[in-house]
Amino acid sequence: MNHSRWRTIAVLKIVFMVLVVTVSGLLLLTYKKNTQISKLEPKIGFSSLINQGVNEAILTIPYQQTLYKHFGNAINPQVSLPVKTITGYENYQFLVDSGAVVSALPKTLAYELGVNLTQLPRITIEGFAGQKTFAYKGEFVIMIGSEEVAIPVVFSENDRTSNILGRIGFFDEFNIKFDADLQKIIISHKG
Amino acid sequence: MLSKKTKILRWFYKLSWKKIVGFSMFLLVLGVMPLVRNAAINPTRTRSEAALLTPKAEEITKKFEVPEGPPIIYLVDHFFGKVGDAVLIHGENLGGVDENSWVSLGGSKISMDNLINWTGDYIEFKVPNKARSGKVEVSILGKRASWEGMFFVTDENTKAELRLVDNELKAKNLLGGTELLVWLIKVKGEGELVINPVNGVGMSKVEIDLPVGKVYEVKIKISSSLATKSELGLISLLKLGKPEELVVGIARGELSDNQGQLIPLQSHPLYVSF
Repeated sequence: MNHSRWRTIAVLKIVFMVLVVTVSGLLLLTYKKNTQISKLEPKIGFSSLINQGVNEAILTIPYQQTLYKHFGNAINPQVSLPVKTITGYENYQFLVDSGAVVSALPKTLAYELGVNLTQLPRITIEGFAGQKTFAYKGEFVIMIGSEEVAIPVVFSENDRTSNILGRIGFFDEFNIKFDADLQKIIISHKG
Repeated sequence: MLSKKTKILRWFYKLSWKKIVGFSMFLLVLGVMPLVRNAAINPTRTRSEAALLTPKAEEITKKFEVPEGPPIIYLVDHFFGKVGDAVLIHGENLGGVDENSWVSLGGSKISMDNLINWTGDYIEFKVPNKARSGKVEVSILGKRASWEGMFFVTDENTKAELRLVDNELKAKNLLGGTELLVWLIKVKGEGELVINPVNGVGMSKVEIDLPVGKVYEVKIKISSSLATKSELGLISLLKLGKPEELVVGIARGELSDNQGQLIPLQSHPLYVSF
């Protein structure tokens, strides 16, 4: 009886220590993972200080407010940007949408932009409710500040498509800041 | 003589709980310290592990929906496309990706590389390199179905074209054609489409109710003078009336010559629906 009791106590002590070692190990692993994530974030270093001018806003657009029946006043991330057309630059309204993979325009704008849809690859895009629509993959040129920027776009066969500025070529090339203090959308160069 | 295992057990047994707890606390503090330091120096932020994810190629839907009957194809949308263009096959009992199921265009099976989506009610594929115009067929677990219409693989040599412009069905480059079959489909919205031929054009019409939308099948006689005129520019064939909210598209088009042979036909993306 005594013989088995001292063994049980010894095993309990070992189990306790193993548990503590495991917990400590897991904590260290978590720390390591966090450090890994932090490393991927841009660091403010000497080079950043030198290039500080580059990060200045190239375009500042005041917030537009919309009064929704159910929600009251809410900001409407709508911007007006000059778009290169066959007759020169013309202003178009865009919805700044980080939820959209790519920018989108209705197919009816293709002619004005000098785009021949028959030569563009046809793809399908999924709408808000999951319905499929055909679209044509191309590019268009907009003026951001004083810069001409070519942005990938899909021309949707759905004429009711809104003009959308999505992630590819816009969110991944520029810093888009929604500044609630200044009530403005600020576009600046990345890094 | 005591075994090594017993010696270790005895060593632990003799070790007091105080020492064990003390040592454990030391280990815990060691583990917690870097985390505490991290929390102290970093501003509070929403933590996301998205940065650690490696981008993955989009995969074709793997879900197999067990068919409740033989496969049916209602529509191949659009009925034309150049190499690389996306095409949707609408139907039912189409199952999903399976080694015993396939899709073919013009008699050639579509490879997995060109399949984009495959669900029980639609299949999306890209027109493969070197594809030829022909029937679109599916075989689901050995049961076959094909679309009654013809799919045209188009290129710069495809001249015959249909357009929906200004509430009219127009066409160009119909030379050689004697009969034109067109499906006009209700894509969205309520109401009816009113179809009338323009002066001098013979037409017959049948209405077909498909689960993907109501279809107006129209057969138009193409006279040789009309075909010749169409070589010079767009000619008007039908006048179309519809409520504003109703969206109508060209779902099928087949231009046949007096031998019954089909002439490749397409529609312009800008004017494929209105």
